[in-house]
Amino acid sequence: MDEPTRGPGAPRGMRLLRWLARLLVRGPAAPVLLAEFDELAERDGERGMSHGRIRRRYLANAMGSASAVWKEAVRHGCGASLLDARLGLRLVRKTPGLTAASVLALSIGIPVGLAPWHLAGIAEADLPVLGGDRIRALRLWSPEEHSAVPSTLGLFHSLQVGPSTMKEVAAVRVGRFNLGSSRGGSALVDGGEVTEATFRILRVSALLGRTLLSDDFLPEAPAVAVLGEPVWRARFAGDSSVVGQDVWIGGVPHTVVGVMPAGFRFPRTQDVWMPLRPALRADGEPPELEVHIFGRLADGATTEAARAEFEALHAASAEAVSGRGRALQIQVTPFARAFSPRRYGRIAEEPDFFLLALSALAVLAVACVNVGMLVFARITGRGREIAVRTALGASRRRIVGQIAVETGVMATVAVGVGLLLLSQLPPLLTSARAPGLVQTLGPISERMPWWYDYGLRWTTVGLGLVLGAVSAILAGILPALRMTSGKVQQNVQRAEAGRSGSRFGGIPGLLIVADVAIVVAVLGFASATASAMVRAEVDQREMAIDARDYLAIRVALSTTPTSSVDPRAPEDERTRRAERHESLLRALAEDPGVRGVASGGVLPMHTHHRRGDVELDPGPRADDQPHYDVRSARVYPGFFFGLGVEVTLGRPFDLRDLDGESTTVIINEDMMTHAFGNANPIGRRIRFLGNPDSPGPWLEVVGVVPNLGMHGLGIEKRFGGIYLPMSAGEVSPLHIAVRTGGPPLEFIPRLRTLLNEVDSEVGLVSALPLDQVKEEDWYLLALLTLAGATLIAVLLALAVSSLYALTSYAVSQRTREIGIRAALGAGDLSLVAVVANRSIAQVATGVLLGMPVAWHVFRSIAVDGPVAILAALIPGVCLLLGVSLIACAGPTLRALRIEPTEALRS
Amino acid sequence: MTYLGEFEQLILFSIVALGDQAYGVAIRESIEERTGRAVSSGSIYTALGRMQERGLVSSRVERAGEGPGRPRKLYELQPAGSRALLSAWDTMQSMAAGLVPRLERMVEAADG
Repeated sequence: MDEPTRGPGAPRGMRLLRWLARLLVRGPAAPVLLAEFDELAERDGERGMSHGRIRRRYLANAMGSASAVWKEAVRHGCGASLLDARLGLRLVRKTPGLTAASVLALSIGIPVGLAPWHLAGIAEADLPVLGGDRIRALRLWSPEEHSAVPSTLGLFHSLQVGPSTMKEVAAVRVGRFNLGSSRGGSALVDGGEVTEATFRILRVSALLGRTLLSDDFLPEAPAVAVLGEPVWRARFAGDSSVVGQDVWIGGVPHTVVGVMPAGFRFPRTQDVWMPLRPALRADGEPPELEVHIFGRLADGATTEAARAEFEALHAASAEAVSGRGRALQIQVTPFARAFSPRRYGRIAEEPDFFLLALSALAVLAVACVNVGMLVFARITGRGREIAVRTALGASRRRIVGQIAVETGVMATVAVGVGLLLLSQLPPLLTSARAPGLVQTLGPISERMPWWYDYGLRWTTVGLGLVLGAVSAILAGILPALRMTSGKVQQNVQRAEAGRSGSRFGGIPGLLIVADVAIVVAVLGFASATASAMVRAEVDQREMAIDARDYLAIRVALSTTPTSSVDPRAPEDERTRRAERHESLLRALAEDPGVRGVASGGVLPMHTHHRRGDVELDPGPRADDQPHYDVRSARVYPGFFFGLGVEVTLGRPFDLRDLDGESTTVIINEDMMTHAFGNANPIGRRIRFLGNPDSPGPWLEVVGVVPNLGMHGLGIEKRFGGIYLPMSAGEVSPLHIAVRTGGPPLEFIPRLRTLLNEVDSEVGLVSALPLDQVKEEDWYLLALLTLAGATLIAVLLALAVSSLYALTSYAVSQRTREIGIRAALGAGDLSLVAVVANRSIAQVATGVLLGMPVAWHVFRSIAVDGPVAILAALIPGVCLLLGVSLIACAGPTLRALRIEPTEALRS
Repeated sequence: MTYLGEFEQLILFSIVALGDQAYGVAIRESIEERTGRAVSSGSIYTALGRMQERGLVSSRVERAGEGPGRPRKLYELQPAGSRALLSAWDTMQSMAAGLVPRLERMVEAADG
């Protein structure tokens, strides 16, 4: 090519311009265009233009041309992409089974992968108030124990010395208060006693009336309260004249001064607010009340600056306030983190979160690899089509692009389904009100913090799209690239011709083995949780009482606001609680609708019986001295009589057992069997080990009772249970079992009346039939079982579809070989072995690898013996084998129908 | 009826004017000389490419001069292109018929 512009008369800098033009102008037209640029520059020179003008015209021409060429390329590219998209969609529709399996796998994998970040975002959201992102909580942290330490009112006062980084600091003490009104009846509500600056910091106005003002906090000010919107609607039917009316909170009259708007439930789920103005102790100091401290960052102040300032402030006063000196640090955290036992960093910075996120992404990776295998198998089945398209001039990029579109469509659908699941499942699960579950507490969502917003965030959607794109690349583009590489493509074409060609290689086979092994392992988990549920049901039926005849009640014996409690006489409060306990039992026992009353810290079928090791006396303190892992419960005298249970041996508890420090226990029949070999244990002594250096006091066995459901959901070995005597008012909330003459639920209205008659301070926390007290834990187990079953279904679907794909591929590859074998007289069984042996071996290997894991998982959750474990696992394994055989059956039958002459001719 | 944009009409008129010497540089210079508009070689090529897809023009590549000269892509008007250009010109003329004097008066009035 002649280059006149490079000659002596050529403008300087043309070399650079030409290089720039080559860089910018790409594509098939580039050689012609670059030659024209030079020719035009040459002609410009001949016309006598200045070098500068020639350069400018050259540059303008090159830039304009590059722009036009790129625009045209984009226009063409879009057209091709749309065509690819249409082809991709058509192929997706042509294989609905594989498409459904792939979309299902990604629809599970993508939300699981996203869940840790999404849920962390929900938990860490800012308070939904004006400038909520500037509100910070202050709390104590113990570096030695790696846990938060409750803050006290004293700490709050020590921090109120005009910090420059916080506009104001406030505190709230949460509690449960019995709320009664002139409309009759009372109910327990979660409430908060707040300090003066609270509503100024939160910047929330009242829906009706006003919030708390400075005057309300004066010692002589009348008691006032602000109600939450749910309480206002439920207790006052949304009556706007509620402001100015009196309510009784913990038996103390308060005037309602305002109603807060819907959704406001500060600090977590509280619905009524009163001024915190506790009476001082005898030494003039505020009582050591547990509070949550918070404040609003001053304009321009950062969390780090506030942290530094409060650490300095705290260092000066920590010794005096907490008694734990400088060992405790003060943390300034986003408000949502104040209730977490973790450090103040974001959840995403926690090591546990890292592991969780890694596990979630591993689930997504497994789904992607499986889908990749399906895509791989599908491409193999389209070897002829790919070969034809290649022969017609389709580039590898075009073919890979089309396959990427197919996977992209599936990934897009999966992202949509996944995001829908993420946005809908948490509110759905928390809105559940399972039969009998928290009859008097309402759905779980009401116990979720008020800043929880289950809606999708842009960050979640963005991350979902990224995961979808990564999934499409992993599951689509990588297998497509491998399948369309030169060598493999030849193999595909040869495979289509019926000759031995490409193999899947070992990875898909290993994946099937891994899939099956995981299915079996998860089967162990799901079987164990299901077995625990069955065992709990059996335990309940075998219990010495019929749980359906009892109403299980939980009551708070003290709901008095702090300002009405005298810290100088704490014993008065204990006495009042004991009186309420005894009065309540008396009132219930005297009611004609009641046949028996039992009270204690825990009731039969509860899952939170205390657990501990005990040893027997006499006995040598040798290493082989058996320790017994037992469950224990504190019960008030009359417990067994109230339940209608006869003492098998010895005597029940009575008032003698409450004198001084109790030294008597009653054991159950399980304990008698395991620890005493069914010998009479009356008079024998046992003690709790707790700390080996200082075991508890020896306790004398005074009675034996039948087994009364101390092991909840039956997920542990049952060595026995121990009952300890409890004095009146010792625990709050108190559990009471009421044996009713009719259906237990029908007694609840009468119960409310009785509670009001006994003492307006006693609050009903919950009331539900005794056979349903395990429902809350049952619900969790049911969810875990459901999650396990879903995972099994997805993995099984993937493994089965992969098996089908691989077996089909093997049959199509070995058509000629099978034909020859048939021609040589091979029987059907031998042909079946040829086709299915590898698939069967893969499934069998997966089962063999998964069984020990399933066994271990089962044993770690449930307590069944080997026979029961096998009985629980074998049906699932048989189902897995059956489904796998069905998956192989289709291609195998096709192999049996191969005509030797046809196969040989091809 | 085949629609032609203004730029496409300019290119096709240039091809008619240049005869068998219609290639990028010549078309560009022709348009620049007759209209005073500087257009890039790339925009001429992409427009010619689209018109070739529509069957309005055809092209062939030749080397300029003897030996390994610069590649030139020469364009030739096809019957469909001729018809489309003529139709576009007729349309414009029939629309403008009798209106030019009035348009000139409007411009004069606007210019004051």
